[in-house]
Amino acid sequence: MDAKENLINRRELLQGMAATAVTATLAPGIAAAQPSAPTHKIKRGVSLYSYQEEFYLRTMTLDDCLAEASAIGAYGIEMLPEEMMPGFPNPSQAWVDQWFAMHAKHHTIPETYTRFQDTFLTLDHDLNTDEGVRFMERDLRLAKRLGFKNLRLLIGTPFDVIEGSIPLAEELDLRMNIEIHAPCLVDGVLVHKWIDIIEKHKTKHFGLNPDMGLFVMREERIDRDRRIRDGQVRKEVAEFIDKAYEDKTPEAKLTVELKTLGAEPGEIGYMHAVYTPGGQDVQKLKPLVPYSHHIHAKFYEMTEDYQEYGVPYDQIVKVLIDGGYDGYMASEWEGQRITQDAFETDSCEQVRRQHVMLKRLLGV
Amino acid sequence: MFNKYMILTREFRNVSEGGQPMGFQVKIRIPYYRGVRLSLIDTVQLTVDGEEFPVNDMTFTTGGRTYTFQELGKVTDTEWFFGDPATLTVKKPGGLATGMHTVQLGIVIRKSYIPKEDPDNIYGFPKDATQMILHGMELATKKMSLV
Repeated sequence: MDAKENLINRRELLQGMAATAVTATLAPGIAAAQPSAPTHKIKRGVSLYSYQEEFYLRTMTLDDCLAEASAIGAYGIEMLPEEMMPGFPNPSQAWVDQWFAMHAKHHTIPETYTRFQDTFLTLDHDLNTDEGVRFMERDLRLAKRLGFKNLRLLIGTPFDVIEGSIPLAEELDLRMNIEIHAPCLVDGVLVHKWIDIIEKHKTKHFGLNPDMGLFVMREERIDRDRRIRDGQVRKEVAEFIDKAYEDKTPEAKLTVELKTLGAEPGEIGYMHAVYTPGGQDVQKLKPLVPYSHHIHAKFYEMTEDYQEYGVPYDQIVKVLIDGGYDGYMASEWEGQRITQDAFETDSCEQVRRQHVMLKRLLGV
Repeated sequence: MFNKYMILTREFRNVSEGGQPMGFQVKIRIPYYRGVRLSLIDTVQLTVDGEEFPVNDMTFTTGGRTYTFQELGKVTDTEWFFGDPATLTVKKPGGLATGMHTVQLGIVIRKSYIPKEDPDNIYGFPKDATQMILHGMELATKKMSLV
């Protein structure tokens, strides 16, 4: 793995040198317009979750996913083995050899392994702490075997299982990063409980994995359109609500107006979504940066002019840079589940648009 | 999620025993973003032309092995792989008639990693959302011809 990381570092070094050379040959006025050399160590990656639909339909293989990630310079790979690894959790040695060969070919690295703590695996028995820790051990050992550096733990992973797994994570030098995912409060009790565990164990092998879906600042329009297609909201009512929101009509006043007009419950629901998109203050991310080893660059719709419709990535990237974040931002596209009923999914194009944006914001 | 891909047209057919049509089979895919241990397949509801078939009259085949639904809930070492078709074989003496059929399928995959209870409300899920996450059913309807 070190050889592969060196290769990437060398590539980045060469890219940096080339950029310097270009800048040096330009007239001063033009040179000033070039992006300055990055002052951060944030790297671009992708969660293969983003390509789930093509993989599911067998129009892209795992090798195709890695080739595509490489082609857009998203070298850090997050994978859900339970999504894309045949034979999980006991892959054949031939498959593991192939896994490393694919990464070597595409200059990608196994960066984050997403795992699920199936506490309620059967109906008649919930995993107790010891069983839970053994369940985690299965994934820690498999992640190590596959060359990953990080694991993403999901929100419900019990606290005692996390604490019981820290010694093995330290021994294997793997970081378990728990996902902070909407609707979890960025500065809430749960996050503080996790930080308390980090501090109590003085460990770098348990950390945080914030998901940028925490910062949806306006209702995604693909969600509105889906509600319309599903018959929950009439198109003209959606437009009426959107206009009222733009005009800063108070929600209480709009509620009365809508009820007078005979609005359906789904339409009142849409109004709540518009008025309360759930996005939290991006600045609240800053104190979490020192504990964060992986960032989920969650997105729903990248527009043709390279903006996420609802998530303010310019603000997010600034907070991450200012906070000294030095890990990967991994694309996690989740729009397909909202649009696939009516439109053909093109995961690659959506991820590419996000990387055009990230490249602009990060300068790399 | 993936509802529209859940029911496959291919290999929709009657099955025979001793030369007599005893039922039919339909291929299905998981409506979830990962493969799961078979024990996490919480519910499968199948209706054809309005007739609902109890799970006791169905078997589930994946990876070349066939399970009853009583067995399925205990199988923690085998995965229904993401995107791989499984086969539902349904008992129906005489089978289905040649022609068009409306197949409705509902599947619940237990979201086994979400906290069941949140007494202090630290996870922030509304109560009904937790129920939905634990037991939400994915539904699909497809019209298919049986030959």
